[in-house]
Amino acid sequence: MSSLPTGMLLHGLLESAEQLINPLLKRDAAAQVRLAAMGGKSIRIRCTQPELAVMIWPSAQGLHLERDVSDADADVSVAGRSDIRVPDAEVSGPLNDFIRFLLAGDRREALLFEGALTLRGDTALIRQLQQLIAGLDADLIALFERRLGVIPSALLAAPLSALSRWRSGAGKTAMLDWQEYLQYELALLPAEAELAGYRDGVREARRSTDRLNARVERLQQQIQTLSGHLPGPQSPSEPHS
Amino acid sequence: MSESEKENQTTHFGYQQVGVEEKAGKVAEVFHSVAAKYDLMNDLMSMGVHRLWKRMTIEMSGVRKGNAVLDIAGGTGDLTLKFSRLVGPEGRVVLADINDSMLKVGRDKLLDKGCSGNVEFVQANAECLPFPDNTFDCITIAFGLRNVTDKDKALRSMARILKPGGRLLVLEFSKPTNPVMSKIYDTYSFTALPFMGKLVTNDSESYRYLAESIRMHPDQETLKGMMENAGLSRVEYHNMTSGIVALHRGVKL
Repeated sequence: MSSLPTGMLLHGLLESAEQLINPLLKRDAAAQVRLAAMGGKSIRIRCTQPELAVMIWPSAQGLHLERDVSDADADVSVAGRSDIRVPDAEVSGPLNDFIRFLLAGDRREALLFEGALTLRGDTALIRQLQQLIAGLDADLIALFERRLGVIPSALLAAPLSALSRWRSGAGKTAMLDWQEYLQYELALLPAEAELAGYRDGVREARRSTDRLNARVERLQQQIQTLSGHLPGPQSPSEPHS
Repeated sequence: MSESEKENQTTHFGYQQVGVEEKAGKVAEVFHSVAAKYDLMNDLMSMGVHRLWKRMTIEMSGVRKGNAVLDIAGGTGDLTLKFSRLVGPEGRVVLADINDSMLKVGRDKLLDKGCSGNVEFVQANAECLPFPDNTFDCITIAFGLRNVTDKDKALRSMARILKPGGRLLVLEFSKPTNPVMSKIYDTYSFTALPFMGKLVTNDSESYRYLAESIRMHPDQETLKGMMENAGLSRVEYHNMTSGIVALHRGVKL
């Protein structure tokens, strides 16, 4: 187990995430129906570097997040062990890949199935959860209205939306500036098209290797089958006619 | 023990000395009064931190699928709800409380949250738990032990019904380890808590009792010794929020 302050910090983050997501889910009727359909299942999010795992339990009441301290090696394939909490699905990978995933915006789903993160078990469940969170109607102003009242919420809403617009615009501009600087000024990064071509090449090479491996295996099996049918070499002790 | 001896024996109820027979009734009155607003008051008084203390308790319980768990003084069922998910349909969680008002609030809350099937509700006194020996893999008592009249008897009763290898976890207010924090905490407990109690539940006395009962509760080392005397081994404790709360864990070998 990690040290107590780290544990408390992590539990604080999980509790805050629950408190933020679940009221939004409660306001979304479509999300409620999809959550109810996922009830009774569990998904483990496992960060491999640093070692850390969180269990997500969807139910009609929302998402319940728990730190998972069970056997780190217990995965979806060890259903035979009765005392191990076996998740229905698992997403694992190093922290930087999870961060990349969170910052990917509209490309999240593509990134999830591209191979950067490892998926195990019921991948349809992972996809459903990802779509549920991505499609969540994040009407934060309505939440503020319920807790603070209409006028304070309206007073808060104007600066918040201006801040959000500025953040989004400034983020995009900064990203483009950095991209240009790193690609063209310093020539440290390849261009997007070049990178895509390289990725396609790697993917094609991987597929060709897999095919080649499969053919070699098939040939080996054929050789074994044929050698089983051929008569064996004569023993030296056998008398010659 | 004769009736006259019983009458002469006293125990503390907050800072007051009351007859041993009286304490349970007085504690019951406190919890009947606060049951309806118990969760809200917990959030207000601890500023939500009680949720983290309970999460740490769950984490350290080591409860697994198929385990049998007893949540004593489970009140409104915060721990039971989480244990119910952990043990799964093959497991069993018993929410026990001496106070029927708290038990009703807990039962309704858990049913509203869709928690049923593997949860049972039992009205029971922690000093004489109505379960056979070696029944549970894990027993927890969160913020309940200080209200028990005979704590040693309650700990022995818990040790009895634990299976060999089972864990007892006691989450309870304790003695702050930092003197500055201790001062702030004292001021907060004896001024802000009764005031909040008055505002929310119209009952400042119950929250004055809460602050007093915390001061009368054994400190970390004393409770550790009490658990060892009750027959538990490998007893250890973890201070949380500078010792305002301590989580004790012992194993029955």
